[in-house]
Amino acid sequence: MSFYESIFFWTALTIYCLASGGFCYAVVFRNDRVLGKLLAITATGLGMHTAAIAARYAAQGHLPWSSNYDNGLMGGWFIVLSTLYVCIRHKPIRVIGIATLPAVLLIMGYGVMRNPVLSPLDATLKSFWLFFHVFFAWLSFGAYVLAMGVGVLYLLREKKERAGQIVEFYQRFGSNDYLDDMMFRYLVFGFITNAVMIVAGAIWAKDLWGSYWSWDPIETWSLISWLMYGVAIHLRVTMGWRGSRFAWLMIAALMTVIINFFGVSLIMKSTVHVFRMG
Amino acid sequence: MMNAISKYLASLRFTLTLIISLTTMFLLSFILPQKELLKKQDYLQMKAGSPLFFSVMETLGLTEVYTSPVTLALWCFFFLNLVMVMWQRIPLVLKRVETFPEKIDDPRTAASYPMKLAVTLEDRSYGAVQNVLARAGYRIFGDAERFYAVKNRLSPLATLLFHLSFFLILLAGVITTYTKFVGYLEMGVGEAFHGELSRYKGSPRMPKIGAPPSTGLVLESVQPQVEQNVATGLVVGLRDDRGMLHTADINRPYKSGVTSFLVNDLGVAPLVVIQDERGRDLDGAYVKLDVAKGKKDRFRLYGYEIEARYFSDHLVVDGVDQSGSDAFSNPAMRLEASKNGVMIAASTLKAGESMSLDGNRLVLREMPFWVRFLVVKQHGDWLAYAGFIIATLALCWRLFLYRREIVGAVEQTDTGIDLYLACRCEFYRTAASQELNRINQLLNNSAVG
Ligand code: HEM
Repeated sequence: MSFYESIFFWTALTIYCLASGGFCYAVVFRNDRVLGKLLAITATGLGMHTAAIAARYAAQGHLPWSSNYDNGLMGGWFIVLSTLYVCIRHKPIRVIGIATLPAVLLIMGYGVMRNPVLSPLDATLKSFWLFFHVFFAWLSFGAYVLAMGVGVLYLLREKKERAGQIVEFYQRFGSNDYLDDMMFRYLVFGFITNAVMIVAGAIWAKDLWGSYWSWDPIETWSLISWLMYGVAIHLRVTMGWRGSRFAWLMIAALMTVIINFFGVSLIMKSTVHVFRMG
Repeated sequence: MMNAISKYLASLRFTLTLIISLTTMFLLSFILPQKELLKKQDYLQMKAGSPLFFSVMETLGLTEVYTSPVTLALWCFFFLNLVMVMWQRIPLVLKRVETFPEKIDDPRTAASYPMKLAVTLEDRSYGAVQNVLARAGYRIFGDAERFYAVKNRLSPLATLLFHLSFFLILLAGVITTYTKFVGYLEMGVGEAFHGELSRYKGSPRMPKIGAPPSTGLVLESVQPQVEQNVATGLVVGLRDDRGMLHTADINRPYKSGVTSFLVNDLGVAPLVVIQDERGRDLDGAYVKLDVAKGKKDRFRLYGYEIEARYFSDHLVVDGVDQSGSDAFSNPAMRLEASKNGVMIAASTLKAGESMSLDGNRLVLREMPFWVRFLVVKQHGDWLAYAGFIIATLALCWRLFLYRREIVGAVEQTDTGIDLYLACRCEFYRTAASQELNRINQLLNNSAVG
């Protein structure tokens, strides 16, 4: 990490910690007056986060997209950006940060404990298709996290409703149909961007390994998670799965993506293309 | 019985079972020992440890999950199920996109249109409503008394397109598998290649259909790039049969028709010369050495057996040769020569230096690089691209541009009209009310305009 990057990174992480705590407070004490302030705090965190990425870019000459730390940094940025987008565009579910910000803390924390060293871009990673691949991976990951987040909100409210309690705070999330539709919208966006990510990855692999598909562990995992989301779409479209069942499905399916997201280091080990003569 | 089986084979329940089973098979590859991922020795050792387990796994092909008979059978069922389901769906989808309701539901009571809107519009006629709906992207059928409007009418076709694109990808997979040639080719700087099969390392994978590549080229230059111990590039200059110069790099293969030369690895090919005591050349050759990552390699020349190690950034620490970094800033080679099993000389040389060998001299004239290319020739790439593009576009079409339907009725009043609308959308329940809100807004705006 460069000097400025570490300052901005840790500031952003601290702000996200505070914001996560704030979202927990809002949900536990059912106080939605703090949500506006939390939005401002999260936006400040995103500003710091962007500055950390810019500082890293300036120090190493390329966008962070190669190590676990890079993935945490950029993946986290996309999730926070999507969270803010949701807070502004879909006001009823602006408490979604309760689910998405802890995920950001987790992946950024995990990344920073791994390998935040600055390094030039490895020859194997210099590809337009890889850029495309990683960009769409972040988009789809952000969308899947949002789908999970809405799922959590749905379940929180449903639990109360099942206990016969109508809590006004939860009612502000919008109707059940609205939450259900939002889950599906994010899922669909994630699914399509995930498909583009797999295709771009396959084209990159063709120029690097000579084959579109080699059943490399990372490739296999990404196929598994895409298929799982495909199953989820089928269950909804053809079997009518909705509501809490679907919300649980969104939470479970995200696990496959998390495993995939942090398995990137495997690809570095399995690649045969990095030469080292010394 | 047969009916029940074929009904199940064509069911969406079976589709889900198949996708989940395939996923489970892929997951197994992470849990069960896989031949491809393990070194042969390690695999055999594991097998010796639990022979029964391995004999069951091997019988089921589960130590090579992706090509196991179980996986292949699942794939066959997958495509069978896909054909059967789509075969049933094609007429239904075509009917759905072609025809319009013979009987248009009453928007005030239609149960299948969950969202309803009733508005009174002053100074407006049915024509104004038609205009607004057309501006919102709807096609309208019927008349003021009862009309039906549809947006993204053809969207269900995208379901067929998306699922049928799997067959394009399958076809591309079959064609590439049968026409694929793969071989490793090592070339030193200045060396020419004219497609000779004997030049490939080991035995290349020959295509079952078609011929191996015949592309010819000369390796002109090799320029490895290393920054802060990270290999950042391997720029290779190539001249083709027509004398045109091309560059390739890792991730940027040289392509000639359907043949690709992928830059795969790097080595050194020093020019080693043996001279007699008067300085006359007795023997000499460029020897391609596999000395990457500190590995040792051996070669024979003029009866001498020579062991070599390479240091890209040579340093001597406590009398021991080392590489200070991965940069190619100070290359040197440690050579140990022996004859009949007895070591006779050892020295670390740079290009242009020499060492004496029981009366002769060994001269290290130069140390150019060699490059290993992965040569791949296959047909059917464009089919794979077509499949990928169609699948992605069809998904966007189906899931973003989903179908929206409205039934409506207009009642004339003294000052304008009473408009009744009812709407339904695919996939989303709340989208219908959003759509009606939007149309209401457009109607209001049109009044202002
Ligand atoms: C044997 C294989 C498959 C069959 C028979 C099949 C069948 C179907 C059918 C009939 C629908 C339409 C449901 C409706 O509109 O009522 C559908 C939808 C869908 N399927 Fe599949 N499917 C298969 C495999 C897959 C796979 C592998 C994926 C991707 C992971 C997938 C993704 C989708 C998606 C995204 C939709 C919703 C959009 C649409 O209607 O096109 N399907 N599937």
